[in-house]
Amino acid sequence: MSSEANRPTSGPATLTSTLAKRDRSNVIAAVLKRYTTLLILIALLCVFSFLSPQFLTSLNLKNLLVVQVTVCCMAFATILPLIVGEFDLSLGYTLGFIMMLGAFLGGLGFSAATIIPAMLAAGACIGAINGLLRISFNISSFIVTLGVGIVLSGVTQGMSGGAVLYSGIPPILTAIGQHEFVGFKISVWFTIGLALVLVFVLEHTPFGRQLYAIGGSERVALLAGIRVNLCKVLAFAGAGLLVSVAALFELGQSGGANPLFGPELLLPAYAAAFLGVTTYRPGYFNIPGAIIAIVLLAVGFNGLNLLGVPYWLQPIFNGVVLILAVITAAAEGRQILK
Amino acid sequence: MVAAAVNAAETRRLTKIFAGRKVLDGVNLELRAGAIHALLGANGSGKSTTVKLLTGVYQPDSGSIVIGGREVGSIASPRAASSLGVAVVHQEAPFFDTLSVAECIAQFRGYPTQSGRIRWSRLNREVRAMLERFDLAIDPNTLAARLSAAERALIAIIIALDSARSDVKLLILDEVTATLPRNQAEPYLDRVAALAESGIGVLMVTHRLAELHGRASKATVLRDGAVAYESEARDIDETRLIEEMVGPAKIQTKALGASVRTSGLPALWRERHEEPSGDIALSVHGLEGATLRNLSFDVRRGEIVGIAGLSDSGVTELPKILAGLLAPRGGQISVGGKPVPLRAAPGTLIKAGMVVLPADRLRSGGVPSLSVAENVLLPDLARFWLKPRRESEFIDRIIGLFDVRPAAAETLFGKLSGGNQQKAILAKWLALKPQVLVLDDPTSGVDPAARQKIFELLREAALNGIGVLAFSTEPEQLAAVCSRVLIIREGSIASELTGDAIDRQTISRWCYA
Repeated sequence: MSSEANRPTSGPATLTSTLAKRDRSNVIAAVLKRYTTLLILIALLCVFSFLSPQFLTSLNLKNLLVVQVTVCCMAFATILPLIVGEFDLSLGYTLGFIMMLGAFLGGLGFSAATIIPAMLAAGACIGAINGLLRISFNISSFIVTLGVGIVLSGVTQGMSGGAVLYSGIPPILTAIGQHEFVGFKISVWFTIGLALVLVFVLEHTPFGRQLYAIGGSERVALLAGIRVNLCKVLAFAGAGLLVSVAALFELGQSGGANPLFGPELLLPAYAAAFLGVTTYRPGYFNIPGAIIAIVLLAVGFNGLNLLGVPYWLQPIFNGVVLILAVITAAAEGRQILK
Repeated sequence: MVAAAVNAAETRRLTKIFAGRKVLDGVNLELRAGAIHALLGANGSGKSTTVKLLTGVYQPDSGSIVIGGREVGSIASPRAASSLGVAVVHQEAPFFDTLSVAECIAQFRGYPTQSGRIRWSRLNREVRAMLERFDLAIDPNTLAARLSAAERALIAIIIALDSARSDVKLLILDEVTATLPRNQAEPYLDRVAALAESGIGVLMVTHRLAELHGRASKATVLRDGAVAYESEARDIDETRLIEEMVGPAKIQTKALGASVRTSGLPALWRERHEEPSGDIALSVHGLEGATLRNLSFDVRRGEIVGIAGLSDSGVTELPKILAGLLAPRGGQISVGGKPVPLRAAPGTLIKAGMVVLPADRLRSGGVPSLSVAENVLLPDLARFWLKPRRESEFIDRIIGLFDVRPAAAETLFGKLSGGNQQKAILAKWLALKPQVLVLDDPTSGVDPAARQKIFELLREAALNGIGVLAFSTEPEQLAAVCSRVLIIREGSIASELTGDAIDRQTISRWCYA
C-alpha cells in the first residue's frame, strides 16, 4: 500500500534518472560493442608491460610491428573479395609465386625498375584471372581460386628449381624493410598509407559502397544498375595487387624466396579479416578492424613469448581469441557472417 | 460398412481470428468421400487459412472439424493431421533436384537397410511399384530435376499419400495446378479424379475455373472468410462463380489529383539539360518472350496504366524484361521515344530512364544489411560523393517526403516493416527522375496506411510527367489508382479498360474468363 502511495511523487524523478542512466549506459554499450577488440588490446598492453620489463621498450614494439606488415597486407587482400561475398583461396600461393617471380627476375639480373612493376602486375593479373573465371563460368570462387592456387604452386616450384633463391634481390626492397623513418620501419609507413587509401576507397567512394551493396544483395545491386561482374573482377584484381605488395615486403625482409612459403599466411590473414568484423564497423568486413585484430594477436604472442610461454601456444591463443570474439559479437545480436 | 454415407471430412462453423480480424467466420464444408470438391476464392478470402486449419498448422478459435465421421474438434499439429488421415500437397513440390526420384521418395519414407547398409535394389523395386500403381512410367533412377511439371505434381501426391500416418481419408491439393502448363494439367487432373473414385475425398484449392468441368462434384466459393456460394456439379457456372468470388462492387475512391501536392518530387531531382520530348514515355511493340506473344502497348507521360492477368499470362515475365533481368526473343522497347537494346543490362535501362520496383521485395528490393540512406542512393552513389552534408540533407528530405518510418537514415533496411521498405524502394527510384516507373505488385504485404501513401506518391509522380505502369495481383488496387487497365491473356493484350469500366469485378472477369 505504502509503495503505491509513494509512486506519484517519486515517479518522475526516478524516470528522469533512469533515462539519464540508460543514455549513459547506451553510450558505454555502443563503445563496448564497436571496440571490444581494441579494449582487449589495451588491457593486454597494460598486463604485459606490467609483467615484463622488455615489453614496453621501443625496440620490441618496433619489431613487433614490422613482422606484421606482410600478414597485414594479406588480410587487406582477403577483405576485398569477402566484401563482395567471394572467397580467394589462392592468396597464399600467389604470395609465394610473386616472391619467387621477384627473386627469379633478380637472379636473371633485372633491376628494381623492372622487378617491382612486374611483381605488381603479375599479382593484379592473377587476381583478374580468378575473377574472370569466377564470373564467366559461374563456378564457386572457392573452387576457382583453389585450382588457380595449386597451378601457381607448381609454377613457383618450377621457377625455383627446388632451391631457395636469394641472389639479385633489389637492395631497395631490403631497405624498405630495414630502414627507419620517423620512428618506424618504412614498410610500416607504407602499410599505414595503404590502409588509409583502402579505407577511403571502401568507405568514401561510390565504388567502395557498391562493393558492400553487392555483398549485401547481389540481385538488388544488379537491379540498381551496378555492374556486379566488373566490380567482382576488380575486387579479385585488387586482392592480387595487395598480395604483390605483401610479397615486396616479405622478399625485402627475408632476403630470399622459398618455394614452399606462402600458404601458411592464408589462414592467419582470414582470421584477422573475420576478427576485424567485430570492430570499428561491426558486422562488416573492414580495414581498421583487421589492423586492430592483427596488432592484438601480435601483442598477445609477443607478450606470452617474453613471459617464456612455449611457442606452440601462439596458434592456440590466436584460435581461441578468434572464436571468443565472434561468439561475443554474435551474442550481442549483431549479424556477423550469417 | 457405412463408409459411403460418411463424409471424408466436415468443418462446422469454423472460425479463425488473426489480430482481432475474423479471417474465417463460421465456415461449413462437407467434403464427400470419393469426390473432388473445389474451393475457390480471391486472394485473402480465407482459402489458405481453411487448409491450414484442416492440416493442423493453425487451430480454430471456434467451431470444429470432423474427419471420417469422427468429431476431432481441432487438429493440434501437422503430425496429428497426418495420423487422422489428412494428406496435403502444396504448390512447391517436395523435391531435391540433385537426387533421383527413388531417393527423393526415400527422404520421406526412409531407406530400406540391411545392417545399416542401404538396399538399393529393394528401394528401386518399391519405388517402381509405387509409381506403377499410378501408371507412371518413370525410372526410379531419373534425376528429379529431369521430371516434367506434371510428373513432379503426381509424385508429390504419391509422397503425400505414402507419408500419411494412417489411411488417407482426405487429400488436399493446395493450388497445385497453378504451376502446371495447361496441356499437362489435363492428364494430371484425370489421375486425381481416378484417385478420388477409389474412395478418398479430394479438396482442390484452385483459381482455374476451367479445370472443374466434369471433375469436381461440388464447388464452394469463399469470400471475406465466409462461404459465399456453393454449387453442385451440374450447376457449376463460371460467370456465377466469378461474380461470387469478386463480390458486390465496392465504392471506388479515385479522386485523381484532388489532394495531391506537386512540389515535393522535383526538389529531389538533379538538374537535367535535356528535357524529354514527345508524349509517349514507354512504348512496347511486338514483344516476344517465353510467354509473351506479339505484345504491344504504350504508356503516355503522366498516365498510370495497370496491367492484370493470371500468373501464366505473361504478367510475371514482362516486369523482368523491363528490368533487364530477362531478354525478350524479339520486338522493340522504347523509353521516351528512344529504342533500348533488347539485351540491355539493368544499368542501361535505368540510364535510359526506366526503373522497376520488383515484386520480390525481400530478395530484390533492397539490401537488408545496409542503411536506408545507402539503399536510397544505391543507383546513383556518385551523386553526393564527398558531399556528406548535402547527402544527409537530401536523405532527410526524402525520408520526410516518402514518410519512411522510423525517420532515421541509419536504420538498417532489413529492420523496416514491409510498407516502409516499399516506400524506401519507391524513393530510391523516384529520386532518379525516371521517365517510366514500373511497379510489380507494389502493394503486396503492405499495410493499408502505407498503401495509401504509395498511391499518393504514384499520382504525384504521374502529375510530374512520369509514365507509371503498375502490375498487380489485386484488381482492386489497380482500380483504385489506374486511369487505364490492360488485361494480358496468353501473352498478349486481351482487353483495355478505361474510365468507369475499371472496377474490381470487370478486371477479375476479364482475367479469369
